Amino acid sequence: MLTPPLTITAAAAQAGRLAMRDVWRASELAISRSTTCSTGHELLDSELPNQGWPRSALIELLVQQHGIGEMQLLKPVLASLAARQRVALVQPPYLPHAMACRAWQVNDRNLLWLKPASSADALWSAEQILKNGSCGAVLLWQANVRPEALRRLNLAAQSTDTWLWLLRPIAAAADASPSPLRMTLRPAAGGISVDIIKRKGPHCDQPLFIPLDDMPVPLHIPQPAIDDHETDVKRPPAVVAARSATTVLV
Amino acid sequence: MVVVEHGLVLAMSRQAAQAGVRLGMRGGGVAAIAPDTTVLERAADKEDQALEAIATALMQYTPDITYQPDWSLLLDVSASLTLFKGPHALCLRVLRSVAALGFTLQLGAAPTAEGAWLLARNAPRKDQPKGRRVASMERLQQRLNQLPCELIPAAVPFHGWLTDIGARDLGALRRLPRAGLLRRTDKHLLATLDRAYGEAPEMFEWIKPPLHFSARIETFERVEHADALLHGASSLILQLVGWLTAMQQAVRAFTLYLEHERGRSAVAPTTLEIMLAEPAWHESHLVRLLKERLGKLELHAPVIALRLEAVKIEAMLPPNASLFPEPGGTPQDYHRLLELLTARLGADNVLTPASVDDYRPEICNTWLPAATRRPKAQLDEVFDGRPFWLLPKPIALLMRDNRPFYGSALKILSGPERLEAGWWNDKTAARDYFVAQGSDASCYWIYLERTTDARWFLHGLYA
Repeated sequence: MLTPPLTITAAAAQAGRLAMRDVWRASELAISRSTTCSTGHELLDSELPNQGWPRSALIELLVQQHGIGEMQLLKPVLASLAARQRVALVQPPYLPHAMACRAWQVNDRNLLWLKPASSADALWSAEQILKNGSCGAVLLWQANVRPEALRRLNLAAQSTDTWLWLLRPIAAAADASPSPLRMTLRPAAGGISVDIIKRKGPHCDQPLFIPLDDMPVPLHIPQPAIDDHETDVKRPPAVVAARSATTVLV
Repeated sequence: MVVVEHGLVLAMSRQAAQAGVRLGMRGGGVAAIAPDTTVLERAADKEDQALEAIATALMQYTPDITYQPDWSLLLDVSASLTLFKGPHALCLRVLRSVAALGFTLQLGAAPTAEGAWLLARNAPRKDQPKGRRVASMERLQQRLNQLPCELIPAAVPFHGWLTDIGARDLGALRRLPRAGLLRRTDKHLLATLDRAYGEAPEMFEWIKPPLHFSARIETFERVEHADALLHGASSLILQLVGWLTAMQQAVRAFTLYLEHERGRSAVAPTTLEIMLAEPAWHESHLVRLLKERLGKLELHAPVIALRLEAVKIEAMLPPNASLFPEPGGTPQDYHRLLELLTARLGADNVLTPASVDDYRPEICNTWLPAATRRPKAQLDEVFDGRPFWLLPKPIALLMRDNRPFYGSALKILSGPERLEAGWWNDKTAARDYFVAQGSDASCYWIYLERTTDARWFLHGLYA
């Protein structure tokens, strides 16, 4: 008899998986029809549903402190958005530096900086910008947001084509939030450490290290510290030079 | 509340009617039956103003408006029906506009102006159909035939005679021989009848809108909170919109004057000037702007009247519609957003970058109000290695073990970048900038001030 052997090859398994695209397995990242924009960081893209920042959704970035590379994480997406549309910064913690944007190829003419006096005004402004729809992205900094305000922001974001990032302190990670994508950001040398705490997909086990190009890094590779001056007689002179240079700078 | 004319009750509120007040009662009688009632004398000049306000507001639906006796307005909407999506939708909008002004009206609609006027003034008896709006000529004639004769002012002197000969309604009146009727009554009676039935042409002199817009409204009581003024202000906006539409103009700047009660000395009115980036004639946008501005205003004295003046107007531009809507909204949308944000947050809090050609970061990083127009920035230079966050004021750093300390001891990564500027206007900045890193790997932009007493400052954060 010439019956073919009943073995399922890897290719056939792949084909079967492709045929059942509507079936979502808990171990997989969600695939939906929502529009996303690549983060510009391959490692982060591979861990996000649809491989990018979701549009029309509230994205929460929980930062350990301000100024740890959170804007550089957003740099690629902001650069592509600001080329054509406006980007609103609502209640940032410090003064945004237009020159840094320019050095990052982010069109600084399309930046809009709002300085609301109160948190309520900031939320109102963000909602108005989302409703209006003439801006490409909104970045909102808030320390304490009430859950109903979060729901309202999420609803406002869902009804527009605007990207919305909410930057909050890391302490808010324990609170419930309607946001479909939440991640904590911690400083790391030469980049940033990203821990996705909520996404449409399986739990992300370990923090990702995202290297950031424009993060300042030491120009020289740090030498192993030499504890004892007396015992190490055969010290190479280059190290001495480097050490002495460091002491002068510091 | 009761309105009295020549000592007789002319109109009353529902509460007064429940208390027993009836039409035609004497003023003294009202005081006896219901002592709490407010008795007001009829003010003809205020009624004129109200009618004028309604006419101005309704100009947004048609430029052809004229006054008609018995406090009526005639609108020729034959050219506006398609624009406002049919007679029913238009009637609803008219009703809503007049309600927004704070008045009630009886609306009649018919193919002839005189017919619509008669239908609007008729108080239907129980045996008559209720509707006051008809679309076809045949229906109008049927409805007119059932109306009582005394609706026509010219027929009132002959009311008794007409009743005696059995001509109770207009249908019976029209069946009478024309020549005899003309001999025995007024010629205006027959003329009105002909116009109402569409047998004679109707000629009107339409109201011409004034060249300058200024409308005033008195509040019902002394208003002490700016928010409470919104209702009065929005009715003024409604008039402004009507006037703008009639003039084919759009407003660029308007002023709202809040008039205060005159005490011992005259109090100058509080003025609220509103400038628009883009000329507008849309009611909702103007009302929203005004709402945000009124919400921020604090009144120093109670307000008794509001006045609105259009300061700067421009020709209305037709909407420039493209085939496909732009994804980011139109520039007009963006201007509207800026106006709204500026109205609530203040112009100094809605900013865009206006980089100044200067080496000092705090000067270079200048931001200007987004709502103002200005020439494009000339600075094309790009300095690399700048942090995204700048501190509003540099923080002097502590020193520990001869190292600058901010949270942890800072390690210098790169530098120095020498910067020396401002010597020409006594704001000398002589600094050496370094990039430093804390123990948790976050990076800082710090500088050493090159003075005799050298100190470290934190100026930026690499975000």
